[in-house]
Amino acid sequence: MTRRLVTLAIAFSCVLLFASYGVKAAPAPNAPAEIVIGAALPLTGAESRVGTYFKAAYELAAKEVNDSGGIFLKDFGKKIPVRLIIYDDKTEATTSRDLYERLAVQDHVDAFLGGYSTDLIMANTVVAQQRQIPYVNGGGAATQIYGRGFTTIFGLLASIQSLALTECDFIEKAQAEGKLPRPLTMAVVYENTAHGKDFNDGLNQCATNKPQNFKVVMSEAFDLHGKDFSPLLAKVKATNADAFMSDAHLDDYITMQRQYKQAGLHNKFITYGARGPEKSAREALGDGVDYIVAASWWSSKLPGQPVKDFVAKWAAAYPNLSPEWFSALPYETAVVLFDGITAAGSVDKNRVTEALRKTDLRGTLMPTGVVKFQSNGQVDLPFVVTQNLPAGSVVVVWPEAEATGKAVLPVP
Amino acid sequence: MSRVQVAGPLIAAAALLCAVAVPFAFPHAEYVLDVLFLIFLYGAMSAAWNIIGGFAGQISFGHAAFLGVGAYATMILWGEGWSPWATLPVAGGLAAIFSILVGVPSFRLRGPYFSIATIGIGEATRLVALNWSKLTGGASGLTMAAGPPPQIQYLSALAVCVAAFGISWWIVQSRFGFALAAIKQDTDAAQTLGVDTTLFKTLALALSAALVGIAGSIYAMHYLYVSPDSVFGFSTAIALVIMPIIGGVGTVWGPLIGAVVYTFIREQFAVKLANADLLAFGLLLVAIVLFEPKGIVGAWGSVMARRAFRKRAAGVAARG
Amino acid sequence: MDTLSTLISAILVAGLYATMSYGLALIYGVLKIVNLANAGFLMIGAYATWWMWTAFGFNPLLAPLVIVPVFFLIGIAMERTMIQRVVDQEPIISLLLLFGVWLVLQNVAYLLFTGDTRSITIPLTDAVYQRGDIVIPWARVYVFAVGTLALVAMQLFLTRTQLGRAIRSIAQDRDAARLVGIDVKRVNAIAFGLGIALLGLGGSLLSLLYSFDPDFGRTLTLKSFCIVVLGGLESFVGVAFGSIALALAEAFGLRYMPASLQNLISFVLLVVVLIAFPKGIAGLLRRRSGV
Repeated sequence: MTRRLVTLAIAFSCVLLFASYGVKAAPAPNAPAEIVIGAALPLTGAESRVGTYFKAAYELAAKEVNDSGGIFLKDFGKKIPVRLIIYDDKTEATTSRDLYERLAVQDHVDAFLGGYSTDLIMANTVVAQQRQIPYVNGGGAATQIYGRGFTTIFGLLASIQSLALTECDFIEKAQAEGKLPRPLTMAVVYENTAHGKDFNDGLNQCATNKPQNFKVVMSEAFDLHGKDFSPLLAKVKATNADAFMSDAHLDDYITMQRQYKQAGLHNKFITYGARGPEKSAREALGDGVDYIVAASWWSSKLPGQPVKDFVAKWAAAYPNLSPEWFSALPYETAVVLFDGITAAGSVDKNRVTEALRKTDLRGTLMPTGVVKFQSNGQVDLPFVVTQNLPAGSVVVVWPEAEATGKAVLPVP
Repeated sequence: MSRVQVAGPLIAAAALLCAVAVPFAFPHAEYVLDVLFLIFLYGAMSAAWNIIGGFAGQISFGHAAFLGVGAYATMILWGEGWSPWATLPVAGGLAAIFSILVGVPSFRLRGPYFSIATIGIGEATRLVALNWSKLTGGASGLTMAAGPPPQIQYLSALAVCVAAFGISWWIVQSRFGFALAAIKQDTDAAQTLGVDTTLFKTLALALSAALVGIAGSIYAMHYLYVSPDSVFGFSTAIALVIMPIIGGVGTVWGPLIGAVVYTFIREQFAVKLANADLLAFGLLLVAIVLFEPKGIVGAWGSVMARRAFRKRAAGVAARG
Repeated sequence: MDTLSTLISAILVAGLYATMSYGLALIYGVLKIVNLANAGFLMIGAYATWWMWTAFGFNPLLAPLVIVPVFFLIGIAMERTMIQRVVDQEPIISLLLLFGVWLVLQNVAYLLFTGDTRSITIPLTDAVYQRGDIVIPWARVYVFAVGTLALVAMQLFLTRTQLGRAIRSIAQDRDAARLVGIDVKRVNAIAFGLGIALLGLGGSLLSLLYSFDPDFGRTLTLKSFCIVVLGGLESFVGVAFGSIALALAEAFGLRYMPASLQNLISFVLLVVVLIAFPKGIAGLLRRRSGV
């Protein structure tokens, strides 16, 4: 009797298990009631600070387009509202991939917006490729993301190697003006990730191509989310290099810069790759962040009306969040996706992918205003070099066409 | 043996038939296939951990290292042109060899010290994978463009799961299992009685590692991306310990039940409150340790035993 | 690199490591359980300090005055409700229990504080003493000083007070202690409470030096295990010795290997010591029969 009960109980729970996952039918092929866009972001875990900004930006873009009625689809002759679904992947690559799978198979999304952080994106883009769903991201810059022959992945972040080369260009200019020594000896420390390795490779490339301008005297990797960089910084000190070139995530940047000051280090040029002007760093370290040079994908100090409009929009919607690159990039990513869908005129995934491939936008927020993807899906945009100045100000120092101030070098 | 464990094989056979039929019966239920795939894969890993952690009583917090070795072995060879299926035995073999290398010295440690050493092993393996870039791709990890179709993945996960539970079932009946139980109870006594405790512990660990390594291969074929953090990370190691304990450490079916509960809770919390799932597991772990060390299977067993007792008592009273 | 600089740095770091490890040593010494929730309590100590600072402007340097008694009470409560039940069972049980506690602490912290990295910045944070090539951050000196004070205080407590002697006798031989009339249950609770209080103190001090998030403490815990095993599980002086040994090994090892492998040093040391001295440490290991 008990045995039968047990069998029944287990069979019943199996049925319940299946039922609870609901075998949802795919939507009918007539005009969809809404356009479903999905993303998984690190809202908790190590990358949560930036992840929450991404969510805010995606939501802002979606709200904007919905306020005007939605995205106009030529095929159906009307505007269809956007429904945004965002899950939390806890900064775990496998969770991220599983969630994108869920978005594809359970929520039947029409397109993906990307996540944040190369490790997560490497994992979750596999789903986009396997199911041929368009995936536009503003959160992954490592070239390996776009080097796998995947055809539906598009990214608005220019590669980190480009970042390093941009900083080299800027340094060359400073050398020409006599502000920095020639050759500039560089102590390079980089986070042990694809991001950091790209940075290191880029700088080494500068040194190989122009040995009279650049010399790498130290090159070491450090683990992400480390707590104690003092031994590493002691090594940096021992090299007596002119420049301290680091590539780190936001939290490591703050920790490292604090310990840099505590170690009594004083280089002529300090950079943390794409980090530098963030408000949270300024709040944590005060004038400890002065004179740091950063090459970022975007700066709120860029000239031009689209940038000013965005800064105003952002401040109105999120008075507590500052306008950083991780506000503008995801916003622009969403806008680009919506544009692609509009250009395709339908939610057919292949048509949207093709439309995205042909993206050629002007007058956007990005530096130079242009958004155009290379054949591998990644953009090739210049970086914006900024420097933190005393009293909390930040100036754009490169490209010269968009500069708003002069760099103060060497660091006084 | 409790009634559940007797009824087990019959239910298992029926369930197995259903499981194999799923991809054919529900060709459009992709999500169900995904979830079941994860359950079978986790179930296999859980059962594998249970061999050394449950039967032999050596709690390992570093099993992610064996998962990782298997996953990386597959990715590396697959990248060199091997067929992914051909890498399965290599993955299992390498994981087993690795486990022997780290296990033999570690087994000189007893109880909690062994467990602490396993945390260290897990961390060290992660650091090595992170820094030995030539072999492992370092922080960038390794990736492949396409893998086997989902139905084949599903069936392979099912196969590994069946193998793992089949082996667990066999162990419980065998002299090997008896030796492990003796070691778990009192290692010194067992040694005195002539059981070569180190040999048996090493065998159990190697078997456990081989299974986890093969599961790692299938994992690699599914995710198509391995990196030190995703595969050797502490969250993976935690999952491998939580599942069998919640389900019932040392029992045969506990790990499967644990895998089901784990997957279910993660799915439910994934979209609502993301870190609440680990919190739930932590609380469950504490509750289980304090009240029912044999987990869900144990709780079920107590309930059944109480019912049987009451029945018998009622029967005696009736005969008066 | 200047050898003197490295040496000074190592000694300061040793003070830090020792402070983190006292709690672990005391709890193992008396209750014979390995506190896997070490990291969790360190982390909560850090967060408590940070929270009091951001919410009430409470000076982080004074935070230990609040944290130590509060954590002591929390420790006693935990011992009474949970630890007592598992103290006499196989060590694996308490290991798993405390692992579960750690998971709970970590995820409650995630829910309350999110995963954002937090840090405390006060004037002391950036102050340094500089003489020639040697640079010493005052914050580290402060932590070292408080850590040493704690060590001295604990050592005095253990040797000069009756309660302290009771703790030591239980650590040596629980049954004998019971035979001479020591209330083992009561002393266990106090010892556990003290251990947790020390962890809270450690976490509070660490918050002055490092930024932290809910995952804080995991790597440090591994180092604590290494220290406790190196130096001996039952004496505070042993902890100090183990800390210095580890700090020196790391500091000088760093001259010859990349910084990213620094943590590997503690693990390798742990395994080497555990395996190279099986006889010496065996006595301590086999206090628990069977497993």
